[in-house]
Amino acid sequence: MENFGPLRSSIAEHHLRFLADVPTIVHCHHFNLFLDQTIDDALGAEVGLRVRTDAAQESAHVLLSAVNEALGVRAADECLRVARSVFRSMGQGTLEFDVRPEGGEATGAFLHYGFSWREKYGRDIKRRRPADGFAAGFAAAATEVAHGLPLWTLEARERGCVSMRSERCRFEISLRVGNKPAPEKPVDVEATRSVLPAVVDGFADAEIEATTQQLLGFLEGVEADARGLVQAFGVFITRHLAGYHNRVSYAAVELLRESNAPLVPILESLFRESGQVCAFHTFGGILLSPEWEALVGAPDGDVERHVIRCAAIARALGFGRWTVHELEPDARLVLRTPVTYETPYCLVRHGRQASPSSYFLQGAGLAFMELAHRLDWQGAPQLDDALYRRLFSAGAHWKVEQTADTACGDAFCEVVVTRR
Amino acid sequence: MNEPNAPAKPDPRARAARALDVVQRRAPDPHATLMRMALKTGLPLDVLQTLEGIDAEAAARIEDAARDILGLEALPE
Repeated sequence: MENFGPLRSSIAEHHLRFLADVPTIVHCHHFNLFLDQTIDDALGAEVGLRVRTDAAQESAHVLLSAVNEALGVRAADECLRVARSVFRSMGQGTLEFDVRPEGGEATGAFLHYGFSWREKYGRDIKRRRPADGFAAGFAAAATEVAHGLPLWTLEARERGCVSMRSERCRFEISLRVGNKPAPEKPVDVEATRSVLPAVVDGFADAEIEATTQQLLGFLEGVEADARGLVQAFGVFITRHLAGYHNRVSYAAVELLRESNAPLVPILESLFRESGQVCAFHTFGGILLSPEWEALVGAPDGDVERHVIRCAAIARALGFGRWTVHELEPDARLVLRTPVTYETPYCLVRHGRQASPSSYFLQGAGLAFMELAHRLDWQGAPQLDDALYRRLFSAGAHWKVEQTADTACGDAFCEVVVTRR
Repeated sequence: MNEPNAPAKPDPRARAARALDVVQRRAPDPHATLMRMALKTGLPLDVLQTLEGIDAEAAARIEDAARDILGLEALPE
């Protein structure tokens, strides 16, 4: 597999990361599955799948074009080899291509979405539709880029999926009929820089930053296994394209606002829920891991230490420069960050917002306090779906309000978490 | 009107209540299920909570959404 290390960069002071100047983010399968599910719930299965596949195709086309350019790769078979390699390095699984300029077929094994859906839900639910919209869009983009074709020349549909108990995932790639989304402004490192506000500092900032750097050093060594999956801290991790998450989220809000505006707050609540589920599984998984214990120390139930460490994890995963502005255990947390990974996309693509929309900050901030106060950390809790259901089936104990958002013209994003 | 010998169909509110009961007991994320049902059916949360004014068409949407969330062809009796 290629080494894409030299193509990775960051805007270090903001904790935003890039591959070949394309924004990237670390997200786990719990978040990824819940977000995709929410998009389909809000838009319906057909439109939801189209929005997700288009988002993947656009993001992957930009990424693969930039990677090939940086590596000086031009021949179609070489471009496809690089595409396979990029896909695996993202923890998305393994894709094989049998394609020509007018389309063809791709097959997938251990695809992040389909495989992890089967692992998480497969025993309880029979899935009715394929799960790999991201891989479909990626396969279409890889074929386009390999053959020097512009974005939206092709489209891909998943015809078999392991989440539906097929042996392998199979994608049919063909010339796109109708439905070519309008070209939009790229949200790359330059566009990101153009909307960044000044850095804000907060409580225990030096400690947060030192812990972030330790975790970053460890994460550099975390690589995909033979399946093309990254399994760590009890979750499947992806080094994902932020443009994918952002495009599907903001497009869903826009489309739902047009069709049934009163339901938008419910959609936003479920986006918060995806942040909460990520914090529970991924942040919690990191905090309880032996690697973390060796780097930083085991969690001891101290609320202040817990929140500081969670802010450090958020920075290391590329969510932004999260700072603790106020913390009163058992009462109140105020988190601030100049931007989250959502903000640059929102500003560049959708302009200044009328209401706050840092959904991930809202959900994760809420989870920091829920987990700090409700889990017996010294008892080494098993952070599984059953515990998550037990914790939240009777509702949350805390509530969150976003009181400032750079996307609304404020100097920073801020969420306030208080007792219900 | 029902045929003379056909079994009477439960009223829409009862059908909706049954579907909601099943999906909330069996869905993987129970605390999020009512919100998911709102998005899938296009019905506001307060309507799903009270089932006030549910007609046959809304009940059918609720049943479809419940089946979809659970991946079932038919809801259990």
